Amino acid sequence: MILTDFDYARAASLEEALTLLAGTDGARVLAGGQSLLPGLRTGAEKARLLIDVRHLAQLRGVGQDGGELRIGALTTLAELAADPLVRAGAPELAAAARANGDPQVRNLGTVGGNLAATERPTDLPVAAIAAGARAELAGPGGTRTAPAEELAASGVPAGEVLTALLVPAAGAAAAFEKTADRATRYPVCAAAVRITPDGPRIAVTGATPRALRLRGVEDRLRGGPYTTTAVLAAFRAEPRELFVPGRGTSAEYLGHLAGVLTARALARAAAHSSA
Amino acid sequence: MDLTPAPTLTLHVNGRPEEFAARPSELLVERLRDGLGLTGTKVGCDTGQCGTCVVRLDGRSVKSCLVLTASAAGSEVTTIEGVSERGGELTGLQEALRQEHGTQCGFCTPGMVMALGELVENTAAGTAPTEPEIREWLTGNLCRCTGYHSVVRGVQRACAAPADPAVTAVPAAEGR
Ligand SMILES: Cc1cc2nc3c(=O)[nH]c(=O)nc-3n(C[C@H](O)[C@H](O)[C@H](O)COP(=O)(O)OP(=O)(O)OC[C@H]3O[C@@H](n4cnc5c(N)ncnc54)[C@H](O)[C@@H]3O)c2cc1C
Ligand code: FES
Ligand code: FES
Repeated sequence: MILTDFDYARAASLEEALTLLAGTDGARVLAGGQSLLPGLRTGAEKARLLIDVRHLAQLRGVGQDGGELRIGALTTLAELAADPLVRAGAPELAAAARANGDPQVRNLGTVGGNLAATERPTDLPVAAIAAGARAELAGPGGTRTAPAEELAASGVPAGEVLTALLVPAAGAAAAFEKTADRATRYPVCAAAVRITPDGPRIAVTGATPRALRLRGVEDRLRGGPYTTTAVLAAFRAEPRELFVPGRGTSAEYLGHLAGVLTARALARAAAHSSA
Repeated sequence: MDLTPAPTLTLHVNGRPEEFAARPSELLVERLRDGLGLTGTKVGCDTGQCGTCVVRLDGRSVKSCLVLTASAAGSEVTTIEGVSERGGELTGLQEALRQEHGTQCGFCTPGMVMALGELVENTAAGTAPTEPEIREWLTGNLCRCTGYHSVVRGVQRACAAPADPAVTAVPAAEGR
């Protein structure tokens, strides 16, 4: 039972959702509810109006336009994990979606919600960063795109709705690795990599305060080979403050874990690499 | 704050239309148990951790403590009371779980059956999911009694021998 009261409105269109969002103090977007509803239940989250966008079919589904995948923000994690276009063109995203929670959470949890949730580190942001994806955001002033890295840094700005994730579909040489918290399934640490002609793109979360692209590690590893020894050395050269202690985990442990997961991901990605 | 008066909503529960007024913050599990008296759906945690509240929403297994009634309005909901096509008879999955002792105190069982039903339905006839696949599918269902081994065997039995008269529906009275 949720002990606080709020209003509920089912948006009939994106425009209606934006109008309601702009016009109401304490209005929040409700997608799958798999973060927001437990948050409201425990009191960690507050809302005066929930604007339900889950039924907006035009924001759901995966399409391909040339070399780019367009993933609607209301696509569920289960749909993302199973989608043939995503599995072929952005396997790190499919794997991150599959690693999420459990089948029931994946049946309702959405791409947009996983990218926008801030209460704990989630799985999709690292995969989106490694993939070089951009988020499409609609707001009162129209639609714009922002790099996934920027979204991870600053979150979805008030008044805006995430409408899609735009992903370069060139990523056969990509992988995602995660060590899940045994009780909650959220990542203790997750790493995603994509090997591009310009070198590897590497992102880590859980071990770091938020999903981060690790350019220093990328530079040290450019040209390969991606041996475990080389990857761990590249992580040890990062400033110690990069890694923050978690629940029962020291910064030193998390820094090492991030290196190990990245090494595994790079080994798997390199096996598919022609770069 | 003045809230909008509780609107009238419709849910299709176990094939029957139900009309009622619900406050906006009402969770689907509250409507099912307290509003409609369908107490087969249990509440273990109320925060999405335990899986004993799992129902099918438009065919997909979901945790009914993580769905607003208002957001489910207009949808088809199936609860444990509605899984059997002929009331009172066990489904093949339920009977297979019974035969493998896949239930002890039974508190997790409705959620297990509702979650596993989706896995079994999506498994091609004549094949069975592997043990790791079944265990992965059970990530969201906590059981403090069975240790899961017997549940895994129950799923394999239900999938491997769907035409076996021993695991197809039998009247509940005989099934005990
Ligand atoms: C038992 C359990 C286990 C979980 N395990 C994991 C895990 O292993 N890894 C993991 O990453 N997550 C995990 N989660 C979290 C879950 O994956 C996320 O909650 C889910 O993906 C979020 O999507 P949603 O659609 O449910 O978002 P909601 O809960 O509806 O929303 C989450 C937040 O995002 C905002 N939002 C949603 N959609 C949009 C949009 N389109 N535009 C702007 N803002 C938006 C909402 O306002 C809210 O602040 C778990 C959750 C549960 C209950
Ligand atoms: S009561 Fe819903 S998951 Fe525990
Ligand atoms: S049978 Fe007792 S909790 Fe599963």
